[in-house]
Order: sequence, then C-alpha cells, then structure tokens
Amino acid sequence: MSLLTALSIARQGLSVSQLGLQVTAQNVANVNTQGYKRQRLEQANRPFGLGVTVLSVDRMLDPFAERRLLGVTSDAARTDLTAQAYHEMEELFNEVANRGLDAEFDDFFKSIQDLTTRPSGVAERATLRSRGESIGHVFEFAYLQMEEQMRVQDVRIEQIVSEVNGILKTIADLNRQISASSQNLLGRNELLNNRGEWVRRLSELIPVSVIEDERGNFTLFVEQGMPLVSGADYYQLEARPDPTDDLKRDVYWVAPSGTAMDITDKMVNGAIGGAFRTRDEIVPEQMRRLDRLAAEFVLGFNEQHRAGTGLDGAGNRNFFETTPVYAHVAKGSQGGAGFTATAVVDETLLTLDAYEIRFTTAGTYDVVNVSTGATILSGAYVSGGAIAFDGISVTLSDVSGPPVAGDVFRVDTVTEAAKNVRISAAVSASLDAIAAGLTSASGDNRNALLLADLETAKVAASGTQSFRDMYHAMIVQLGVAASGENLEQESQEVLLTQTANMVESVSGVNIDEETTSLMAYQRAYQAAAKVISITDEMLATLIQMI
Amino acid sequence: MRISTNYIYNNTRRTIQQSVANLLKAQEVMATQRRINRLSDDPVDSGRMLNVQAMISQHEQFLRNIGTAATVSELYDGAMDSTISLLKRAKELLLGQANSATSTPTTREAARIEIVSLASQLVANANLQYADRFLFAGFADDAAPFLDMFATATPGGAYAISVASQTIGDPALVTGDTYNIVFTGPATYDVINTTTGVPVSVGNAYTSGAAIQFDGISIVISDTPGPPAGGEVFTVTTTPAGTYVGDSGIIQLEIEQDVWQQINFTGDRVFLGAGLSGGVNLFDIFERANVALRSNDQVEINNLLQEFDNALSQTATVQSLAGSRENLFEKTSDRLLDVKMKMQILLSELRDVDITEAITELNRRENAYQAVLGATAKVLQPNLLDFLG
Repeated sequence: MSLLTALSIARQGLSVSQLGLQVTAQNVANVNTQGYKRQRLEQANRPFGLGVTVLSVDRMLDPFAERRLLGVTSDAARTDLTAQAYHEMEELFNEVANRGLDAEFDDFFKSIQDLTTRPSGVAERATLRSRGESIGHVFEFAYLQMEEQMRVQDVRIEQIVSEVNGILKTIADLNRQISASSQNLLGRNELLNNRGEWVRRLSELIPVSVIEDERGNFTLFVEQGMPLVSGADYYQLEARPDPTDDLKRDVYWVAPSGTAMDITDKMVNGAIGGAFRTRDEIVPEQMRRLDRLAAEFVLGFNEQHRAGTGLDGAGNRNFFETTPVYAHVAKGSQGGAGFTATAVVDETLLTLDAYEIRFTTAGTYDVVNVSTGATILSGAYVSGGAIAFDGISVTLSDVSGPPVAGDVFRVDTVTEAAKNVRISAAVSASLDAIAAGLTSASGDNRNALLLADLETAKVAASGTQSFRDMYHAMIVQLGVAASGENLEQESQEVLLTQTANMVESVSGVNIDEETTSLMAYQRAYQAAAKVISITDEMLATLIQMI
Repeated sequence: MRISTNYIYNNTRRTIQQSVANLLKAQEVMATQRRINRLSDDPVDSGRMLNVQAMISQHEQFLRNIGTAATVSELYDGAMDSTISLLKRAKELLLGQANSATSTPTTREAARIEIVSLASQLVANANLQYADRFLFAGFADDAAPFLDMFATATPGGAYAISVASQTIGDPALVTGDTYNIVFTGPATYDVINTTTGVPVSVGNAYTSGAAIQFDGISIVISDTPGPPAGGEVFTVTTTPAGTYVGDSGIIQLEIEQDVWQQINFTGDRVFLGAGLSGGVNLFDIFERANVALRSNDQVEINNLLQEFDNALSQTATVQSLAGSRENLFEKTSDRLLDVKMKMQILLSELRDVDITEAITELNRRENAYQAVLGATAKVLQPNLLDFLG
C-alpha cells in the first residue's frame, strides 16, 4: 500500500461526496416537483481496499403503489365528474329550496278546483289554461337543461381525446430519449420521472395500464384494451360521430396504417369514463323518468278530459296535445332505411311501452314490445308502407337504401315527452273547449271534479301512484343517488389520498432528511480532503528526505 | 411509515379544506335557517317534506271551496226566509177572505191583487243570483230558472203579419182566459174572450206596430212582411208565474279529501216540490189562490189554507237542510284548519333548523377551524436548518 494509493482513495471519496451532494441538491431543488422520485446514491467499496465506487443513483419508488395510483387516480377523476353531474341535476329539481314542477302541479290542480266552483267562469278557464302552459314550460326547461348537460359531455370527450393524443406523443418521445440515454446516470432518472408523471396525468383522463419488462421496454395500454404507446411508437385516438346521432361522439383507436377500432366500451374510467357515464347513464336515466311522468300525465289527464263536454257542446277533445311518437334508428343498423312519417292514430290504445321493429331478413320484420317481450306483429317490408300497432303508425322508407337483416328501429311514445307538453289546438283556440262538465250546461262541474281528483287518484305507474307521488318518488330517488354518488366521490378521494401518501412515503423528499444527508456528505468531503492534505504532507516529508 | 415534506403539506392542506368545508356547511344552515337545502342533504326527509307541503296546499284549497259553499248556503237560507214571509202573508190574506161574513168583492179583489204581486216576488226569490250565477237553476245557471207570468200569441195559420212582442202589462188585470184577436178586415180587428164568449172590444182600428192592449195583456202585431187580411186570427193565452226552465243538476264541491258535498238546491225541488212525496208546487197554489179569490170559491180557499201550511213546512225543511249544511261546512272547516296547522308544524320540524342548535354548531366548527389553523402552523414551521449553526 502506498501513499499514492491513499491519495487515489481519498480522491474517490471526494468525488463520491461531490456526487452525493449533487444528488441531495437535486432532491432539495425538486421537493415540490410533481411526480419527482427522490434519488439516492448507492455506493460500494472497491475490492482490495481500493476505495469507493458509485453503483448507481437510484430512484426510490414503490412499483406496486405506483400502479395502484394509476387506478385510483382514474377512479377519483371519474367520480368527480359523476358527482358533479348529480349536483347539477339536483339543482334542476331542487324542490326543497325553489319553485319547481311540484309547485306547478300544485297551482294547476288548485285552478281545477277553482273551476269546480265556477265551471263557466272565463277567469277560471283562462287561469287553468295558463297553468297548463306553465307546466309544459317547466317540463321543457328541465328536459332541455339535462339535454344540454348531455351535449356538454361530448365536447368534453373531444377535448379529452385531443389532450390524450398530445400526451401519447410526449410519452413516445420520452421513451425514445430514455432508450438513448441508458448511459447517463442522473439524466435518465429525470426522464423516467417525467414519463411517470405524464402517465399519471393520462390516467386522470382515460383508464390505462403499463407493462415494463426487465429490459426496459415500456408499453402503455388502454386498460384491458389496445396498446397506445409501445417504445417510441404511438397510436392515436379519435372522437367520431355516432352514426345514429350526429351530436354524440364515439372513441376510436387509430393505427398509423389507418385501421380504426371503436373502443368506446373500454372508456369506463378516468374523466372520459365520467363523461360517458354522465352522458349515457346518469342524465338519460333522469330524462327518461321525467319523460315517463310527462307521458303518463298527458295521457291520463286527456283521457278524463275527453269524457267531458265543453261549453260549446262538443266533447271527446284533449286538453294537452297528444305526446308525439319518438322513432329512432338503433345503433348498429347497417341498412339505409329511415322513418318518413310517425303518428299517434288512436290514443286510447297507447301503452307507453317501448317497441322495436326488428328486421329478421331484408324483407321481413317483427314488431316486438320490448317492455313485455312479446312479438305483436310480423310483416313484409314495403318502402313507404305504414306499420301500425297499439295506436301508433310509423312509415319506414328506403332513405339511403333498403334495410338489411339485423337492423333495429326503436319506437315509443315516452322519449322526449317532457319536451312536448303543450296545450291542445282546440283549447288554445277557445276556452270553451275546456270540458268542465258532462254536458254543456254552464253550471255543470262534474268533469272538473273528476279532473281535480287526478291530483291524488292513483292512476300513474300502472295504478300504484298519483302523478304527484310519481314526481316525488322520482326526485327522492335522485336525491338518494346524488347522496350516494357524493359518498362514493368522498371515499375515492380518501383512497386517492391514501395511495398518494403511500407513494410519497417512499418517493417523497423530506427536507430535514436531505439536510442531514447534506451534512453527512459535507463531513465525508471534509474528511477526504483532510486525508489528501495529510497524505500530501506525508508525501512532502518523503520527498524532502530525498 | 416514512413522512416526506410533501406528505406534511398535503395532509395539512387537506385537514384545513375539510375544516373550512364543514364551517361553510354550518354557515349555509344559519343563513337559510333550513337544515335541508338540497335533496341530497336528506333525501328521505325531502320526500316527506314535499308530501306534507302538498297536503297543506290541498287543505288550503278545500278551505277555499268550503268558503264558497258556506256563502252559497247562507244565501239559500236567506232566500228561504223571504219565501216563508211571502207564504205567511199569502195565507194571512186567504184567511182574511175565508170568512164569508167579512169577505166582500172589494176585499177579495184587494187580496187577489196582492196575491198576484206576491207570486211575482216569489219568482224574484227563486231567481236568486250569486256572482252572475242563478243558484236555483241546477246546471243551467247562466239563465233565470223561473219565468214570471207571460203571454203567448199564436197565429192560426201562415200570415203576412207577425207578432212583434207579447208582454204582460199589469198582472193584476190578467184573467187567465184565452182570447182571439180576429181581423175583420185589413184595417180592423175584434178582441174576443173565447173562454167566456164575451167580446172585449170590436171594430178596433189596426195600426202596424201599435200595441193591442186588453185585460193586462199587450200584443204588438206588425206588417212583417205584409198587411193583415180579413179572417186572420191570433189566439192569445197567458201562463201564470212559475214555469221552470232550469234543470235538476246536482252541483258538488270537494270540501275534504274525496268528500264531495252537494252545495246547491234545485228550483224544481224547492219551489215545485218535484221528487218529494206530497210535494207542493208553490207557484201553483198562488195561482189557485188568485183564481179562487176571483171567483170567491170558498171551498177552494179553505183547501188552500192547508196547502199553504204544507208549503210552509216544505220550505222550512229546505231551510233546515241549508242550516245543517252550514254546520257541516263549519265543522269541516275547523277540522281542516286543525290538520293544516299540525301539518305546518310537522313541515317546520322537517325543514327548519333549531336556531340555538345551529348557532352552537357554527361556533363549534369555527373553533375547530381555528384549532386546525393553529396546529398547522405548529407543524409547518420547524425546520432542521433553523437549528443548525
């Protein structure tokens, strides 16, 4: 062992301490950097007592916690959106704080009671008609607000897809840099941190999973779906219009060759998952319930109104316009047929069930009552020919081509009913058309008494509830769902916090800890320097001897 | 577990957030004075609240209906009072003429004239109105249900002349007989009383549009489209007061949940005795009194005394019915008000917040918030660097 060796060893000690200082400095500088994993110098002694060497600068992380973090981030992002969706809907129906449909029903039935005391009174009739209009407005407003809420989701979906595409490109780029930088100790860690942070940000938007093998090959997948980034290659997503509804968006995975696949059914988590759930489940469910209430109300009220006679002696007239038929080409239909006419021909036969016209072959169809499951009619298709069943008549024609086997067409008299509650033409034209009596005598209030009864009579929901009961049940259900979603969101937030804490626990920088390391490296440096200085003195002494 | 610097910051941030959120919630409750501000605050109680509100509203409406019903009942009561007075006076008059000793043609005629006048007043009673609606008309309440005495002139064939108007001038002069207006030529006519066979007036000069008046009747015949010809005859009859043109519609109002109560009386039942066993037609007995006094039919006059008694008792029954309805309305009204008040108390319990509780809670959370802030300061401040030289 020579003095020169000691010098060399001390020099290594100096440079290792310098590196340690640099690593500590990096940690301290990045204490607030989102996604930064603290780094630690791994030293090892050289064999034969020949000093110290740097093994690696390790990124401290817990791979299991990291993977879990992706999942809970997606969950939290999703529930944030869905809880928000319920908040907004709650405000629409906040009957406990504001005047809403409940108050309108109240006023409407009050005006019918007033009509019973003075059946031919102009003021009473005018008030009733006006309150009926009002109910229509409130129904329509609530419906349109929810429709808007739905449409907003598609804008959001487009924005998310656009953002995702940018991130995918960035990650692929980082991958390229990472594989190029496998030699550079410090630089590589930072690239890995960046990539990790981008992946985490991506998981806020769409559900993703990552597979990284021992050789460092990194592949990012849509969770349980197609690959998005593979090494330095990336794919893109596209938001394309739903073929059956121009305003809706589906998400497609697109390969560079141009092949596209519809992956909408994989978009179940992250912000996009929240957007789809809001658009396709949460809001439509409420819209359908509102439609159902509107349809039953109009049907039931009209039925009783038709039983009475107006002041002009004519009876069998509606108070509200009959709910129009809703006809829609179902998604997945390949043919070119479409609806050219729809009408209600006999409202006394309406069932308010949902129907489907299913094409068993290109030329024959079955009409199925979806609510009961029964096939009620089968027929041969003629373009422009009317198909009539249960009081409804629709006409299918070869709009852009004939239908093909497997095509499905949906028909019902409930969807969009809430948008279409209007006073009938007869009553709009003349107050005399309001059927308060069973005869046209001016004091006959018998039909008005029966109409007033509808407020509490159990005629809705197959005879189990009154209209107001039905509405109350609907909004209580909304309240329960909203409250449940709030709880879900809160618990997801807690999970996210816990997982983030787990990650922080391993990867986060502790200033006090770094300060201690700082001191340790400083002392090591000082000690090594001291060794050099003493060895130098000793060498000088030796040289002086010569 | 290892604690990183960020962990400390994130945690403290989170606890402050939670504390502020709680504080804001307490503040909202104070500001609105309500414990439920949206459905999700308490969905079940929200539902109950809505049901209670609906019930309160329905009760208010029933009370309004009862108000109308009670007013109407009072009016019926009053009408019965006047009717009873009329009947009593008529009976008094008949009684006065029932004694052959004190009854003279003069006194009988005076009594008869008053009876005719009382019959007219009875018509006015029966045509009682409230807010432009006739209360004794059943469903046909936009027109007066009872007609006063009227005259009808019927042509004997298709003539060029036609009847322009047929009115009663002075009811006291009406005899009840049938007349013919006979045109003897294009400009002259006779008026013959066909019941007695005695001509009333002959050789009258005809002017188109001029009133032909006799025995309290006034007929106007005019050349529309053309002049009269000899031989043309008009038969003139009078119908006494009391023809009913209303219907027997029963008007009900909902005065309580699922309770429909009749609020009207129909004129045919009250004044004509329709549907009652032994029912008395009030107008009929007045007309009979008129005829009996004119012809001094003492037997009839004595019979009528009993009839008028029956009429009085019939009317008194209607009045007591009206009275018992008024009772029903009052009792129902009291009960509804009581229930409504209980519902309002229940609503308040569900919806409103106890002010003392709310203030206490607000204070509690304010203190909690300040404690969190203080604790946070203690955690965030110390740093190893502070202690190193």
